[in-house]
Amino acid sequence: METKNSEYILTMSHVNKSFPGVKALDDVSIRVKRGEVHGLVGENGAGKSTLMKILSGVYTKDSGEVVFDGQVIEKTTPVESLNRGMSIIYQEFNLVQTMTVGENIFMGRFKEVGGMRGTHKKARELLDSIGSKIRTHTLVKDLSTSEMQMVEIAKALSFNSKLIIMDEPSSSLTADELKALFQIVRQLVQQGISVIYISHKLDEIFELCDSITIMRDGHVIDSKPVADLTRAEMITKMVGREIENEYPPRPECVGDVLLEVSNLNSHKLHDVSFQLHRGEILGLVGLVGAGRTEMIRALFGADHVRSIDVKMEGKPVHIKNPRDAIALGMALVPEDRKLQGLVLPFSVGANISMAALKNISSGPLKVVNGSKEKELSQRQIEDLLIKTPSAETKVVSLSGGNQQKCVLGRWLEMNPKVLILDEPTRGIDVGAKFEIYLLMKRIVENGGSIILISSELPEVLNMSNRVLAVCEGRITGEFNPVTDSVDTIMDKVLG
Amino acid sequence: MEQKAYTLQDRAKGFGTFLYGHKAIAAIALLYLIMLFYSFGNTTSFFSSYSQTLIFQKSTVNIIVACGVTFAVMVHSIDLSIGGMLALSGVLVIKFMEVMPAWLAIICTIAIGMLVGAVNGFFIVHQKLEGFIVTLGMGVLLKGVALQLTNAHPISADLSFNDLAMGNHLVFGLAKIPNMVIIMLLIVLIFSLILRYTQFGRNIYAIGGDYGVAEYAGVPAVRQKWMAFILSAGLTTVAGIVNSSYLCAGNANYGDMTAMIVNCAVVVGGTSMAGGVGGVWQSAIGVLFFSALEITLQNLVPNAYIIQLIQGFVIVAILFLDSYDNKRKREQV
Repeated sequence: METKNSEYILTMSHVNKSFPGVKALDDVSIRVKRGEVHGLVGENGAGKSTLMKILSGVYTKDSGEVVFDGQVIEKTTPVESLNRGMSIIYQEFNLVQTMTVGENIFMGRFKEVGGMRGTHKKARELLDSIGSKIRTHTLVKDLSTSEMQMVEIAKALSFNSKLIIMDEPSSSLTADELKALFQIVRQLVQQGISVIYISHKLDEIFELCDSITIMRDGHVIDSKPVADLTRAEMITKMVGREIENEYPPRPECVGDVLLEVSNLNSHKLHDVSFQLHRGEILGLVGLVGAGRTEMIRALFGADHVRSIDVKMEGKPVHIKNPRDAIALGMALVPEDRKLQGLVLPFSVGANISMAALKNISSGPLKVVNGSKEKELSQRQIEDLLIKTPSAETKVVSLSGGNQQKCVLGRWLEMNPKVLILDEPTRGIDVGAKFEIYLLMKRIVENGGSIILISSELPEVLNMSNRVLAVCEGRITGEFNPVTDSVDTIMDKVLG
Repeated sequence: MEQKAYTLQDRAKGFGTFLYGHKAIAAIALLYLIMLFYSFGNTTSFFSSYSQTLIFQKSTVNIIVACGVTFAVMVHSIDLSIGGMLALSGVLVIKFMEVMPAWLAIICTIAIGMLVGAVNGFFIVHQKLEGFIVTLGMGVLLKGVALQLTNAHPISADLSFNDLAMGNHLVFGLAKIPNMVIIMLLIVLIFSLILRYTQFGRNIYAIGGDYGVAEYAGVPAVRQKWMAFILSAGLTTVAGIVNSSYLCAGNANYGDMTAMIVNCAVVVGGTSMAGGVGGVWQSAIGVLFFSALEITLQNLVPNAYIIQLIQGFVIVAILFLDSYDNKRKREQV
């Protein structure tokens, strides 16, 4: 049994957590020493955020033991774990934009710190202790991202935190701000506070962390001092996964150039150029926030850009909005099917026929031909093996895989020349994934082209004919997924 | 025997779900039931043809307005400018008729109404302002214009103008129905069909259901959402003209309650404020419900203040049901 004076501030042993259809955490054990920076790395979906949410009390674990500061913790709530001395600083800050820095730090505790005067006095002390010069009377909305982060850290300290968990703290910081953050983290550690530092960026992990835990698919792959690991080992452990027979044979039908994008600049993208061939599956790999989604949104006319030149079949074209893109034969299956792909109150049939309505309506009033519409949605339901009781069933009641097939069906009806798939298999079970891969194969074999974005590297590597690495809004490398190794690609992805 | 009982139960269940899905019809049925029981012990004129016609006549103007407002609510917004629009259009058409033939006056008034709708649309769709505030402000502005035009006095129209609304012809040789009711029925029919069967109508559902998805799917979302506000204001103008013709007068104070009653009626009818769900004929039923409620209450309680109190209570109760329903649906997702 751990005691109050144990060497470890946090011990998690054999923690399990399942969601319907997914095992999010499988026998996870992690130990964090007092006064160390513990790095937590892993791909998206590896289970890092589930782990955090169990610690903070948003989720309840299915089994296993969590010991924090000598106390066994069975069930907790975010407020309880905060009072116990565990703070989490999320990527999206928990700050009220329209209130002052001091008020944010002591929100809900004004009485305990002695009213407004006490609030600002104590807030000043806390900010001074981490060397921050932000005025406590400033409104949070007037702060920069790094300053907001300082406020979050001060807030964590105000709870006398013994463990601070930082989720991707560096994602929106400049190099100088990052240096300042590192200094503060080191200072916290000297005071005996432990920090769990979650990041994708290996350089930061090597510079800052004392030990590290690597997660993949809900398992802890390795947990050891940073000094015992090389960068290459770490990458292999992060992504290296037995590639079984989960993919159909790669389609090989690449033709001439279909689409040419050049000189694409926006506030997040810098001088992006790429080509897409007929019958090609082009994979874009990169971390979340690297600019992959922004690239295809810009191409699709959904975002404002500073400049972009697009040539389709050799002719320059102008795409001002998604409708122009669709008229040119493009189609986009967006990242979040519930937010951007499906109209949830609609039936399966209405969701499928949405984009094709203009092809099946006639007359000056554009009356939709009901029987053609039924025929169309029925055809896609049968073609894609969408498991639904009928076309009239509400799309909400379908499983994730079948929902995704509805979005795909909508676009297949349009026979797109360029099909853009943004995370097409996220949250979908293995069987449905395979069906979607087969579908992609069929599309390119029938002369379509696909741009595939996916955070699952094996998926991109097994399905694409060509892979582009994206990092910080730039294309940092072009690879052949057959001949180039995973490690060389990941190296470019991590920048 | 057992088989038959089962189907009966099944049918009852089906009827139950129908009533649950069409709350306004259920509510109207409830009102009539109450009055039926009441009529056993008391004398009431509720079931007289006079009272029943009154329900329809009271509803006609508001139903025309509701047809338009349905489009605004369908695209996940609201139109509160209709009160002012109703008053102004009634005044405008009479003023115009003093200087031009009636048909031209009507066209001009409708054109101005559509222009106002376009301005609403500009702020809400193009500038992405909050529909509630924009239309509320516009309503106040329009009423102000109407007050200025009439010097806050009612103005009267030529008596012949009354024929537009109250003139009647034999329909199918059966009954004489006032023109305004026929106009109302035509509008309900036409806009029901447009909403249900045309590409524009289907896009309206999609825009309200999820604006982003509709845009991604190539729906001209900006243009068609804009159109919803033009329709809302345009149809309100038609209602205003009909109203002035019916009363043979224009008054800047007409329609003070219209904005609230009609928007409530649209939602009570089954068009969800969350957008994407509903329909024109449902809104018409919603308006009928409010008229029936008013007549019922006039029969049951003599005190006008109590009537308003109960009306308000019913509105809040129904909005609560709507939000409760939405919450339940969200949790299913």
